[in-house]
Amino acid sequence: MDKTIEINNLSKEYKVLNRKEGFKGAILNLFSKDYKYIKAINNVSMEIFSGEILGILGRNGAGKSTLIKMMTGVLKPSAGALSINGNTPFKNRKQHALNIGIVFGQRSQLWWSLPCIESFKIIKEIYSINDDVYEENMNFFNELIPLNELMNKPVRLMSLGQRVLCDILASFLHNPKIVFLDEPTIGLDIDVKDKIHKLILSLNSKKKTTVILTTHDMGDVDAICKRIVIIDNGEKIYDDKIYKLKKYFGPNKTLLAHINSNKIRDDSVVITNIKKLIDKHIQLIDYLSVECNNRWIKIVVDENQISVLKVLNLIQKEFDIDKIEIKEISTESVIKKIYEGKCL
Amino acid sequence: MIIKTGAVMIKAGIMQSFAYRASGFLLMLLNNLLYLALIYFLWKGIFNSNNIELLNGMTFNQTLLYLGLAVALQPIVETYVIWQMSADILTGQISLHIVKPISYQTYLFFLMIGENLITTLVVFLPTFVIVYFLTNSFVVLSYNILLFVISILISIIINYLVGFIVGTFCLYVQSPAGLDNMRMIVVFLLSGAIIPIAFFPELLRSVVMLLPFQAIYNAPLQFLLSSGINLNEIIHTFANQLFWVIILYGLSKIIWSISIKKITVNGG
Ligand SMILES: Nc1ncnc2c1ncn2[C@@H]1O[C@H](COP(=O)(O)OP(=O)(O)O)[C@@H](O)[C@H]1O
Ligand SMILES: [Mg+2]
Repeated sequence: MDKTIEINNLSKEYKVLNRKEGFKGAILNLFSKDYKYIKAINNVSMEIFSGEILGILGRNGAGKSTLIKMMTGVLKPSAGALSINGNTPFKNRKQHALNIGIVFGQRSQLWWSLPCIESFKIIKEIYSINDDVYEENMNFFNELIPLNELMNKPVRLMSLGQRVLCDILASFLHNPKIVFLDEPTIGLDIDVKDKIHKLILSLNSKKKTTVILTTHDMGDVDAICKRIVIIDNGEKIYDDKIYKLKKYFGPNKTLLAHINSNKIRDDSVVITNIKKLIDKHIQLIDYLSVECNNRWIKIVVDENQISVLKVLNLIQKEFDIDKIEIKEISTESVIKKIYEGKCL
Repeated sequence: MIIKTGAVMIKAGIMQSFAYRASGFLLMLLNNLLYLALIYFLWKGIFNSNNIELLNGMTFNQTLLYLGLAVALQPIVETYVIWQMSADILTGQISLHIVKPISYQTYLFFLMIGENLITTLVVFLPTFVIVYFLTNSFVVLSYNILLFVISILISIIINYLVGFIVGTFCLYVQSPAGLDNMRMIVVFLLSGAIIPIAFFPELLRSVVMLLPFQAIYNAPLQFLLSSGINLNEIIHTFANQLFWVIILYGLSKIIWSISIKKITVNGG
């Protein structure tokens, strides 16, 4: 496989003023030279290959956006080397811009008050996309998501999910070699996240675009990435296939379900009932762990054996469930285990 | 390519300004009419009480025409460029713009000009018609109208560049209102939009003529005001306007590329 991105000992420091408080402080701030440095990315190296979907996972403030901003050419690195398709992003910004697509989850490149299609027309001109390519891409996009209704809708009237979907399509419009998605699923619920995962997968497989996605949600990388890089406190702490990491966790998901009935007083009775239920209906190699607390049932499900939905279906027959939640492995627990040396 | 980009963006800018500011146009027009009434009575009073025909070589009709037309042209100076820049900088949206294959300056220009063109049209035309009748059809309507229109287009560019340069300072000063007010006052005073440049004291006038602001108002107005303008004057006016376009364009590029480091190096 070809390398498209090479990062060598990359670092980024932000210089920020040590601000003083109060009115006197506000005036002093104007003249202050009292700076401190925040190391947002610390000596990170990696290679990214053409056509792969790389997930960059990390908690809030880990340095993901800073890394993406350097790769896209927004920020100039403080130290280290960065080469993308032979370009240095910060130096050849315009040339670089033609080769990449970008989505920053919290903002949109679409024109707020206009129907989405107007933004697409503008992007077509700005990137000098010729008519055939534009036509072909729009037809392909239309196969993935029905565009008719979406394209004529003013962006400000869209739901967050619709807007993000449009932003992702917009970033692929000029057939970039690499697309950067900085937390595209932030603030979205599960079924919209699922749509976004599918969209990214289809775009990647049809167009062979390299996709670099950041997230603080293990579910995102689990759904679409083969390789993940974990960043914490600006440092790279993991860079390998995702299945190796998952070996240590098992393909577990946690199902939380709340019973809507005051009649049930004794949590331990619930547990016994559920265990019986599972024994009766499913043959399992290992037992699932079942807990119950204040009518909240918690079952850790090994998805290699059975899907969470089947388990849910089963308990729903016996209990009146009014709230459910399915939790992926949490990013925090992954990072904790890595530090404990358990994953290496 | 850039022309087609411009066309598509200007169209979008016009659609956007209708979506946002349709009622704003009406208010602007109303403001203009009130302001027009104000200067009518003010200068009528000045001319009548002093019982004079000519003030600094201008008759009442000429003065009214000059100032009335300046009012009609005010929508040109109504640019949102500083506000737009400040919003982009404060929200961090700017990082999306600097990684586009089109420069931020060009992008913003196309974004703004659609709005400018439409306000100039919607607000200027009605005001112009009223001024035309108030001054007893004093304006000569011939080929000078064409020169006037070309000159106006250049004015819009100059005014935009001034706005962009001032807007760049939003990177240092987080007060778009302060910056925009300052720009408005300077442009209004030194461009001849409020007081005809002919009324300025000799020294001030020669200084003002060396500044870019007169190229925004005074220059296009000359084409409507002077009857029988000669070729030399036409060339001189356009040369002066183009000179300022080039200088301000270069200046805005330099200032922007220095200031943008505040974002690309320090992260905003
Ligand atoms: N413009 C900035 N100025 C100063 N510090 C910043 C700036 N941007 C980010 N940081 C700091 O750098 C660190 C990494 O931030 P960021 O890259 O945004 O993390 P993430 O995207 O992983 O949440 C954080 O500690 C954050 O507070
Ligand atoms: Mg971030």
